[in-house]
Amino acid sequence: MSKKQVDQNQIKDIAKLAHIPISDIESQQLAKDFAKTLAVVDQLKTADVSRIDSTHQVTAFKNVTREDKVDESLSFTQAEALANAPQQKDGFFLVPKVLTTEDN
Amino acid sequence: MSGNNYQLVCGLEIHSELKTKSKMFCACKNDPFAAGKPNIHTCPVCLGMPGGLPLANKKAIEWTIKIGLALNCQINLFSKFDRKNYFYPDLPKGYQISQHDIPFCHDGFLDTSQGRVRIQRIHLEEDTAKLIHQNNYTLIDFNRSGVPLVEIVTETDIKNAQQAKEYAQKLRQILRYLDVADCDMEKGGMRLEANISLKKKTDPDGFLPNYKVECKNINSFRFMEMAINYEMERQAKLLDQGQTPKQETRGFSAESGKTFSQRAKEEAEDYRYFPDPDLPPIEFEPAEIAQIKQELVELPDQYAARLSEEHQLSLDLAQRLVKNKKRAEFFEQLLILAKREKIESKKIINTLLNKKIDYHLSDDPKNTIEEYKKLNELEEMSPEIITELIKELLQENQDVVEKYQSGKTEVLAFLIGQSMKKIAKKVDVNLVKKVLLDQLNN
Repeated sequence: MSKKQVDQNQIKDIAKLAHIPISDIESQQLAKDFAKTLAVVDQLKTADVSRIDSTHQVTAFKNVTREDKVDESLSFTQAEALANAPQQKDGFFLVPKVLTTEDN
Repeated sequence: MSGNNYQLVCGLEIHSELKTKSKMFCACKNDPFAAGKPNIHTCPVCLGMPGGLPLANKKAIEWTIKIGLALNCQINLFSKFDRKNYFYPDLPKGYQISQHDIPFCHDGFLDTSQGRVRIQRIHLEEDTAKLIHQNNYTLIDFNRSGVPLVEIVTETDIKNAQQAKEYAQKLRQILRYLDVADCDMEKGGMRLEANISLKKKTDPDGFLPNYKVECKNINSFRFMEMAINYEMERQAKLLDQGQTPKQETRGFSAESGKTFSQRAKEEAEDYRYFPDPDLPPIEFEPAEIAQIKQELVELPDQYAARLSEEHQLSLDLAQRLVKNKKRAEFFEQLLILAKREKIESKKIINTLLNKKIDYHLSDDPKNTIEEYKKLNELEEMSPEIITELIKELLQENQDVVEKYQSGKTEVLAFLIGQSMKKIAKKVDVNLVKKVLLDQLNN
């Protein structure tokens, strides 16, 4: 089993992507834990996959689609949609101001 | 170095919502603009609730293939949906269902008057919720969340702002001909994004600069043209000073006509794409693609070429008739009727385009033909009266008559014009000419 090196900066990048705030001490500990986990996952590399096509999914299903039909019985009312919202205003969900631009 | 020493390197990414009845992955109504109230077309799937299971809209997939075929693309017979992971309040799942490495369509093109623009890929994804930014908070409306959205990405073949505009306008025209998208720019049904950089004119073909500025969420063709021109000037200045423009996302302000920095891209984005395990892959048989191809309507360029050929019109004139499908169909009906009535096609088209006849695309072209005939109808007048009037005219213009008789035959046109004026009725101009010549040569 090869020993994986994971440094604190990598941990901080991952934490940032996951929106999880972590302290310096936590990132040190996590770096060690990640190295162990990756070493376990690395065992997969020993498997012979030379005769296996790349696999995108494992259900063996394909072309599971629906016709283009509206079924309003499956939709929420506005009140139902907003029922779990911590904050709402005039039928909208209300969240703290976001500054960065829309993606997609 | 002046701005003339640089060549624009530009590709476009255009998003367009498809006008299916239902959303992309659920049976909610796809009607974000006319909903009237926020959050009334939602369900566990498009609100991103745990356990919501997406089911792909077959029509949206077929329409994406159709768009690809109309844009001369190759179609991937095997394709799939992937998760694009990022956090933003318009995306409650924490990921957008999109397509990463195997889009439905790839390697197509769209021709413009300034050359071919290659299309790199077309993929299908879900639109996000609409955010309304207020002073101290942000409001979210999920009516738009999950609406089918196609993204059409070009290669960096665009050479100037004018060509970018023409490409985008032609694309919208085609999407509307296909009847798959409304492309309402103002409401955001179609959104433009330009990737802009400059290279030296002496750089080889295919050379890509080491930076790229993305201008996002532009909602009019004119603004895109302005944004590109502004960026070319801004970037040329920086390059002249020996600087490399920053790799960043910029917005465009219609008020100032300038672009402004929105977000610096310090590191490459990390969307951690992976195949969506909730959505099995999509596989097509070649025959199914052939079937969709067969159902393709005639596209504007083909339509114009055919009208030009069948009705002896210049291609330029024919292009003006096919701006949208309804207009093209009206004019084609009109031209067929005109041919039957032996009316010259170019004449009637020019009469209409010059607005000498009031017409609407919803009119019955038969009535328009009748109006045209009325406009051009000759009025009855006996040859004797015509002769009398012309004799009178010649008496009043002895000097001109002398000029004619001394060999200056070019005054004939003047005399014909004066005769028509004196007759003051729409009579056959050939008859007038004949009478005039008889009198002059007597």
